[in-house]
Amino acid sequence: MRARDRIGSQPQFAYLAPSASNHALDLALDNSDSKRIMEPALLVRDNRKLVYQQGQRGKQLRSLREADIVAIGDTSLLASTPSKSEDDFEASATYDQRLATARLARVDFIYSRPHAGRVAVELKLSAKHPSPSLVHNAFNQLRHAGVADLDRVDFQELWALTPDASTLLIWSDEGGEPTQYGLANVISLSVRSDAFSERAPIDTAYVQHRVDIWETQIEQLFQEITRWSIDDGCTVDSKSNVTMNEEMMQLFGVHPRSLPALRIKRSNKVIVTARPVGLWIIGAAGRVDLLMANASASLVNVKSFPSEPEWQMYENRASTPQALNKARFLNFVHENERT
Amino acid sequence: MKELDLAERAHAELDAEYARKEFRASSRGQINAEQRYQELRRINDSAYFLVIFGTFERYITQRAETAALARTGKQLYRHRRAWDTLIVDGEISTSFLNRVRVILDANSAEFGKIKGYYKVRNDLAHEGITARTFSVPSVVTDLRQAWRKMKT
Repeated sequence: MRARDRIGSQPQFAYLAPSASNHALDLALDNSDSKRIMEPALLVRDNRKLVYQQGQRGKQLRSLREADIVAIGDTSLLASTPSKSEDDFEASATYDQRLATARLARVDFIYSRPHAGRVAVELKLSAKHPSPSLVHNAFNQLRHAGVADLDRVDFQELWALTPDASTLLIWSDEGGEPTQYGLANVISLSVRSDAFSERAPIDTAYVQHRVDIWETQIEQLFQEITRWSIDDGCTVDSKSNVTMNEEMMQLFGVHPRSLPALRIKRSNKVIVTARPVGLWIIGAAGRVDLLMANASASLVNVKSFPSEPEWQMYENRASTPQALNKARFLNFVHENERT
Repeated sequence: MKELDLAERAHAELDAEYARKEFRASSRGQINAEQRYQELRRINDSAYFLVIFGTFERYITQRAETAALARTGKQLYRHRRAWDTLIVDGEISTSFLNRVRVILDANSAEFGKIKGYYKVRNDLAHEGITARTFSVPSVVTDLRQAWRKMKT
């Protein structure tokens, strides 16, 4: 990580670090100004292509390269040459003079689009979807920014990042709904504001690890269920499988995973199927369904990662969970096998 | 929490019906039908999550309002001035999470869970059908546990 465009000994508001690979965007906004204690600092490093969420396919945010960034920080100077005609000497001199002391009041950074002009960006961290009034105010802020010449900026954008840096919304000054991107491989989230809490980075490796753990937990659970069933005189077919491809995996580019499913048979007839439903479950840290001809139950892990799993069983007819054990499992099977 | 119990039972009955059909399709090797019932169960979970949480929100509002009104009746201004800020025209008028804070310790694990479910509820309300998967009985268990800890 290195700082760019330091102004004397003043700490930099925004600085960039070149990625180790392929000019991906490494955008770091660090408010070192102690007066602005309410501004959070955020380091986002995306080594992968950004992908759409919510079913939109294919479009990616163009990775910004360091060379694309024209100016950064609320007190930075514009680094590039003015676009006004050099023939207009008086105007140029005035322009240069203004340029030399130009201040970007409350604009976070400016980048250039190849063959398309310059874009001034206001970056916000927002715990929730920014309200229309916040969007409106941000664009007002951009329009009234103390840039020497607003025609040095061709477009304005508002970028809103969620605190866990998993979602980036970009509004353009043309209006309309924002474009939404999922961010992958967030390396570090260093937050200074009390409004957000520091958390471990979420990246592909983390999601991959969670999936690996889940696969192990399923295998261990199914080994136990298999043992119980065999003890009860059943046979167990574990040849079938289900594909795990949850939203988190898609967001972070983790390959789908094949997980086992069980078919428990008595006298060669399937009496119970056991199927992993998902890891990222609202209300639980994983869910497996048991299905029978006339009944069903959910096995849920009530212990969050990284604790060892604790499985509880919700029979469909009952609302109180019971700790899963051999007796309870076989009781469920026997009761509903006969009905 | 009678309405919550009713909603929970309605969800369980519909889920059980879909689960039976899912099992039948699975036993017959009818993969498309099996997947369709899995999807129906997931949509059913989302829909009843909204119903159940909406019912819970109403309970919160009622209890928080009762708690706040009881305290705005105090004679001395210094005893009621903070409570007065929550009541407008005789009704509690503040955000949902603030209503929860009136009756549940905001530092508690239960508050954290309610906050998390509230976010899911808002996302669902804006997004509609979602890819999320639920354990509705687990959510109900958490809401009941939180309710038991709430003050009057």
